[in-house]
Amino acid sequence: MATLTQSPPTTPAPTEARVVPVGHEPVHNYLREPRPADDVTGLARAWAWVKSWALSVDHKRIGIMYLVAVSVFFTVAGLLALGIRTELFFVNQYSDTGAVIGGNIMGPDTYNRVFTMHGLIMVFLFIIPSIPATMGNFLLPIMVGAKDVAFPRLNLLSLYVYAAGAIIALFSITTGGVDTGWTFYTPYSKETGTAVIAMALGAFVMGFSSILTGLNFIVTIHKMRAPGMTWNRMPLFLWSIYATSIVQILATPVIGITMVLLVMERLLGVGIFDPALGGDPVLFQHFFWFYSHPAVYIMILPAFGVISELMGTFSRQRVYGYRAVALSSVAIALLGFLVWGHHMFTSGQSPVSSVVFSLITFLIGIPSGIKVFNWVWTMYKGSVWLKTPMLYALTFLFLFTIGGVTGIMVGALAVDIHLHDTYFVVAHFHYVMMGGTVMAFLGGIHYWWPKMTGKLYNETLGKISALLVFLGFNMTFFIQFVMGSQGMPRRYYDYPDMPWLEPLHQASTIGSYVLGLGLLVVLINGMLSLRKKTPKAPGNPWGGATLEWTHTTSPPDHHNFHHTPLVTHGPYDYEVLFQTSGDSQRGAPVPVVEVGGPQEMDKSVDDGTRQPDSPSDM
Amino acid sequence: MADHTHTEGHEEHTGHGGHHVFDAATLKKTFFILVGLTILTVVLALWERGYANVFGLEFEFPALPLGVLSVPVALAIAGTKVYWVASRFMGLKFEKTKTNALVFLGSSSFLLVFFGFTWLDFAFRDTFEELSAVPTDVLEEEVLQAQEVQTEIADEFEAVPLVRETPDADLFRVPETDAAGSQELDAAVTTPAETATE
Amino acid sequence: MATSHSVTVDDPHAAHGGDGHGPEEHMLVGHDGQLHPSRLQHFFVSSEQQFEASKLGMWLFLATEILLFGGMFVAYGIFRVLYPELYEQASLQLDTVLGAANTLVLLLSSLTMAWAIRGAQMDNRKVLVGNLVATIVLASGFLVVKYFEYTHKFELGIWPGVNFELDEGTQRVSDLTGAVALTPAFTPAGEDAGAPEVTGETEDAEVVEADAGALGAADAPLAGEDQAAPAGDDDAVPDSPAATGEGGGEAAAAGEGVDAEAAADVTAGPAAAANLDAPGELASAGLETEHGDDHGAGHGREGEIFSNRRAGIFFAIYYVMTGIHALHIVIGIIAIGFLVFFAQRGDYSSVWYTPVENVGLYWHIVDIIWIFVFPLMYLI
Repeated sequence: MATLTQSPPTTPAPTEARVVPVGHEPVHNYLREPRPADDVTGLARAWAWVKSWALSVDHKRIGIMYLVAVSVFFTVAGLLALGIRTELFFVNQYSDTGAVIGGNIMGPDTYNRVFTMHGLIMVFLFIIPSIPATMGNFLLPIMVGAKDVAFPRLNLLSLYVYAAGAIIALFSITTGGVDTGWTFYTPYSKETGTAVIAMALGAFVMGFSSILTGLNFIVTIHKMRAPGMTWNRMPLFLWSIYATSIVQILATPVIGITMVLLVMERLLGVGIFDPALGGDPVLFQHFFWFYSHPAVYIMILPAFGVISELMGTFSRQRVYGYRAVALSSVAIALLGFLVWGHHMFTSGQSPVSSVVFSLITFLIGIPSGIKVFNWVWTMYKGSVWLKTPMLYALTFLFLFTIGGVTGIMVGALAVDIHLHDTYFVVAHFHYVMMGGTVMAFLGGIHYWWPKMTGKLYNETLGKISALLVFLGFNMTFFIQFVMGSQGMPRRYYDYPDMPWLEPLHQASTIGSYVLGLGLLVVLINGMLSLRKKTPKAPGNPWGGATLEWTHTTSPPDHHNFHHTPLVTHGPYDYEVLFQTSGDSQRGAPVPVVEVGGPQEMDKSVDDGTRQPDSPSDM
Repeated sequence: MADHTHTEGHEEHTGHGGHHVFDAATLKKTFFILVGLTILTVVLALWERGYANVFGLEFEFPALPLGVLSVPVALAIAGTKVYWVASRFMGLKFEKTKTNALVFLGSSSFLLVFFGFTWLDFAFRDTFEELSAVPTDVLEEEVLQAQEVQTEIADEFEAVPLVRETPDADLFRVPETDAAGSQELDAAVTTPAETATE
Repeated sequence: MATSHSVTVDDPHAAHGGDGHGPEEHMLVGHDGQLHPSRLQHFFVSSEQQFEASKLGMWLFLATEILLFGGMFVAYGIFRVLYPELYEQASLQLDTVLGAANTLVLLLSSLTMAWAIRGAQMDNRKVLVGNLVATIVLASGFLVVKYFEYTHKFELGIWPGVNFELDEGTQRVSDLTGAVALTPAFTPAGEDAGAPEVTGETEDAEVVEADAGALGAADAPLAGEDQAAPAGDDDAVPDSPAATGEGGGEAAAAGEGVDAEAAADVTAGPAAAANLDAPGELASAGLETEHGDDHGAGHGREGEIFSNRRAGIFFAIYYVMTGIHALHIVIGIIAIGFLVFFAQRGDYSSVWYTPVENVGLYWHIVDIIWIFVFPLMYLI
């Protein structure tokens, strides 16, 4: 049945639905509109241009600004990680008096600050906002069929609050940073002379950004879906963003109050975490992990959503088990609040609660497993198209499975007693966070790059980067499973009593450089694609069936849609697209179809006589 | 856009756009219920204490022995008050969809989860282990008491030093080493065995 | 923004034209030539949708407030489970009458807030503005009562956490453990017996590292210094010089006098003894000049709580919880102040009163928080 046209898809009359020739997007795309008037020149023009972006309430522009910001912070924290690995390359040499005389590039105090800042920047400034604030902001209204999010000004405020939190965090770095580890455990975080208060306030402020974004997304999904888009016709990416937003709303305030209480502890000596005054430092850990465990689901759920989209499009098939995948996202979001104690098995908490937490941790592996099976089944008997985004998606499948299974391993109470605070845990969470979320982030960026920028990246470079990243990542972190199970503790500046681990550390460090190289290639690929001479991308280069591919140009118009779309099929009904395009070649780009009345298009590219380009032109 | 003027009659208590208009009688009724519940909870609390000091006047009366129920009762009354505020003042009862009520109840239930699981830790700290997570000062009190006892005992008994200047003459006899001496040694060696068999 | 936002499909919300009727000045001609409510944003289809979306957004924000205060309630609950007698003793220090009065004031303010919304719904500007002003007045009254409660407590030396002034002879928890309280105990200027006002300034803000090893390491400091006997008997405290040297090094090096010893709760016997003496004397001394009578030490400071070593915990939670609550009241007053300003101008009517509704929801949550705080802190 016809998708979204109101008349049969034959020769379109000018006043009805018409096919926009591929590669000829209207000029009024969001990157250019709004822009300063043509008669404004020079410095005033530059300033006006800056203001048009800095004060923009357009969700797409806000998404791009977030993308730039998180990429910068990812790079900074990544360089810190390279510093950590470089420091660990050699076992340090000590003089007779115990001073370090060789094999190091930094002192132990600096090392503590480096790994703390690596963790803090990665968690709060990069990975939590990564997919929701960039791709979520950009795509959610379009996928839902709306013109913007529910509260666009709040969206802009969220960006500024994020920036404010980042500035506070950077300020604390300039005063020496923090050396407590990103977990801020008391009592050390109360005692240490480093800039804990500034960093705690920074985290508090950044939490607000997260809350505002989640709030916006929930309201948009609840109240602004286009006609015909029932809950069961939403793309799975939206289901995962919805689940993420629920977690953001419920969990983030608790880190807020935790940071407030920590600041009070340091400033006023209130003493609720101080055993000297009758308090309990384990209470701090409960407070901290009540947020920080759901936070890791904030990190991974959007990644699940991206992978669902990639799997569907690049297998040219419906995502198998739509309802299971959708509901498992919500299940993970809710169950994720019940397992925080598995970070505290060795903290001295009661055996009863340890057992309960361990049990529920096992349960929460089930919805994740459901998703993995469904994705694999999506590929089965599909037409798998191994473009760069799909390579990242396959990488995700492999790496996240390893990460998830090792998570279950450390979730076993008896095992965790030995593996807690070792490199095994470090490897586990890097597998899920980097091998999971970052792979999905990269895959999503590549996938939606033509939509966001109107340009296609270089596929060869993309494949090279995917390979380098895959190899580098595994080389870095798989070895750490081995190191951890042999007893290498985490957050250690040196390992003089375990010199046999040195070759393993060295291999891990070399792997980290390969990984860094791969990420550099990604960056170069992106920069090269933005050159003027790179040809423009078609509206739907991948043949996706969700609204952003079928109903908007690349890049989208300033207002997303001229007229509200009417949704009459599900998000993965690729067969419907084949019918409209009349094209039996799978994998070919599909023309963009616009609905409704007269288009506002640049006259110079549309004189009504153009025939649709044939697929072979692409 | 559809016709923007319509003259159909509204329901009695819906304003423009179909919003529920707060009914005066309901608001007043809710307020008095809330005041009543407040008075109730205060009275119960004072009754429990058996003592009240109001503006300098002191009263004493037999205390209400609620015991362990005092907290649940107070929380129940507070919960009832919250129900009335949320349903009537905040309008949850009159909304078309249950979404907002779900948000309110959902967040409250997650708060209960937070408290419940944390309580699960603190309430069972001493399971399987006698000394785990006893508050530090209580532990130290026990240490102090043990030391007091020890000093008392020390006054009464003379402690045997662990390290001596010279070996104990009874324990470490060093015999002459000659043939006769070795026989003595043998004799000395066998003695414990003999005594052991006796 | 020059595009139309007409809907080409059947939208149930559009059917009755949103909030179509009302005074003409609320309608603007849209770019599609049709009339639209002036407040309708272009990305919403109808005013109804916009209002509902706005309300849902506010409810989600309230959910975060519930979780924020909830954290403090959890802290309250956990310490109640650990130290029940602390709470029973401490709540006696909170004035039930004032607390009940505050509760009634806040409930009344909730009523006036709801009534103000009713006024907006009925296009009655007088009722709207009058009730908003009444809400502000009542909220301010709440804050005034709070002010008196707080100042009265400060006079009695009831400060949060480590600064709580215990009775003479009551050892602080930190003295028993050998660990060191990490912020210095608040003592007003040591020698000023005539200080009329106990200020919040702390002397010698040295941060001493907690000696975690002190618990197990040396029996000597514990046995020597931390007898449960009333402090002040120096001869009952056989310090081992080494321990005093280690633990008390900071304090000793810092200087002589009450100031240095008041600097930290260090496990040096004489220092601790002097420390414990100081607050008691000063509290009473301060009170003498304050009240101008000759009640001895302990005037107003009746109750077992003053010799409960963990009193600081309860009052830390009390001050943080009521403090953050009071902060929310202040924010609410400011928000309602803005509403009064705009309502006076006539911005709100039955066609559009979303800000009033949302601020009202916020205000009710603040009231709900207090409904729980009052019995938990004051009554039980």
